[in-house]
Amino acid sequence: MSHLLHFAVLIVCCVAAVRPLARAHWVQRMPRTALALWQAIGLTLELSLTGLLFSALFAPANQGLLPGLARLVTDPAGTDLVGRLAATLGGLFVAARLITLVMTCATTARARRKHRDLLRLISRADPALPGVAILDHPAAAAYCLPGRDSSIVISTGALGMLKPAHVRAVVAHEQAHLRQRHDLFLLPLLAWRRLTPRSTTLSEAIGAVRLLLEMLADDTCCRTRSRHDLADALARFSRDSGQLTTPLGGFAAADTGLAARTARLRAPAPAHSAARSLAVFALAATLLATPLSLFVLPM
Amino acid sequence: MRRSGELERAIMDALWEAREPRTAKEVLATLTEEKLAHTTVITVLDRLTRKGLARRERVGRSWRYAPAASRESYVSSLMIDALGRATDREAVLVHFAHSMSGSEADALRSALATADDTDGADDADEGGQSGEAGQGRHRA
Repeated sequence: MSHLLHFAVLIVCCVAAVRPLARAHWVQRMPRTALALWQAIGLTLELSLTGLLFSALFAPANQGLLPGLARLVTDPAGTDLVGRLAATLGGLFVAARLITLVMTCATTARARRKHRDLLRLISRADPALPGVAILDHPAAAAYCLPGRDSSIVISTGALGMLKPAHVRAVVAHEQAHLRQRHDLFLLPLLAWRRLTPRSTTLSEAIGAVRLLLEMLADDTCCRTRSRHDLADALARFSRDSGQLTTPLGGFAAADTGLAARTARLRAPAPAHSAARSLAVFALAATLLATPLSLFVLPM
Repeated sequence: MRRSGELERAIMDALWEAREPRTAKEVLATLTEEKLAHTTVITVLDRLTRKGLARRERVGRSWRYAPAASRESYVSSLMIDALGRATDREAVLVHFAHSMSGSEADALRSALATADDTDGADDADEGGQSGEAGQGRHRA
């Protein structure tokens, strides 16, 4: 039973950590470390849920998950009804996670292919901006399309309001997204969306991770480009929106994101101490090691 | 010989310029800058039709091809992808930041109807959100 309890406690801890972490400010000083912590929380949660569902299987003999599963295979008759039920539930959870992941990948790939097909037909190239697809449209948009055949797209509306140095900063920011495959980081979270479509905790997690990914791309961009150019580019995007009608509901968080990014580029906080970063990494590792050890160790 | 993507593009441009359905032979005649086989043009036109970018109709003994939608409506549908606020799209595109002014929003809104037609059922649940996009927004 102690396995069951351990997993339950871990699940509660992970879920309870989401909101405070999503609202924390210190993460903005170390987006990379914070993202590692998010990843550890996500993995711990997945493993603990699997472990919790399977744990009735090995509770009687107090075995770890893997020995318990091995026993189920070698000696099915020796497993009681509760054990078999637990194995079924655990199997169902793992299957549901895998299926939603595959579905999310497939939907995303299809939408990207459709977008890319159209893009190839109607965008144009500019010798001054190698690797950038230009869309003739007055609205300001700059984005990247991740994937195997990735592209960076900027509308003529955006080019019109940006100076060349700004454009180079925007392109470097998008290249960071593509090179570091930030889209893959979001996939497991978006797949959760299919299992818990109404969860506000999940929405907060997705929002926080997305903002951290933007900040990480900003930081990567600033290694080769001036942080003032990037901040100016961001500000021009937000000034353009000054002419907008009243922002719609649920919109404020995004505004905060843009403001937070601009603020941290304009006045970078003093470099955080390595000790703090190390402490967060240690926390992440400990978190992840707990369910893993429960999987193999007998109690 | 150009890459197939560029050929698709050249042929779509020819169809958009034509303003009326064209046969493969007529399309080939407008692509003066290269030596292309008639069958190559037919292959590309069929591929475009399969992708839903062109449509074709039988006239007499030959097929005539036309673009499925105007170039402007395709641009608008890409911009709606880029400026819309659908959660599932987040992994499809990664935005830098974006915004729209009132007049631009009007232009996009009027193009929305066309885009909704071409997007089909899989975007039906996002229709409302794309509609909101038309009222102007920006997001980081």
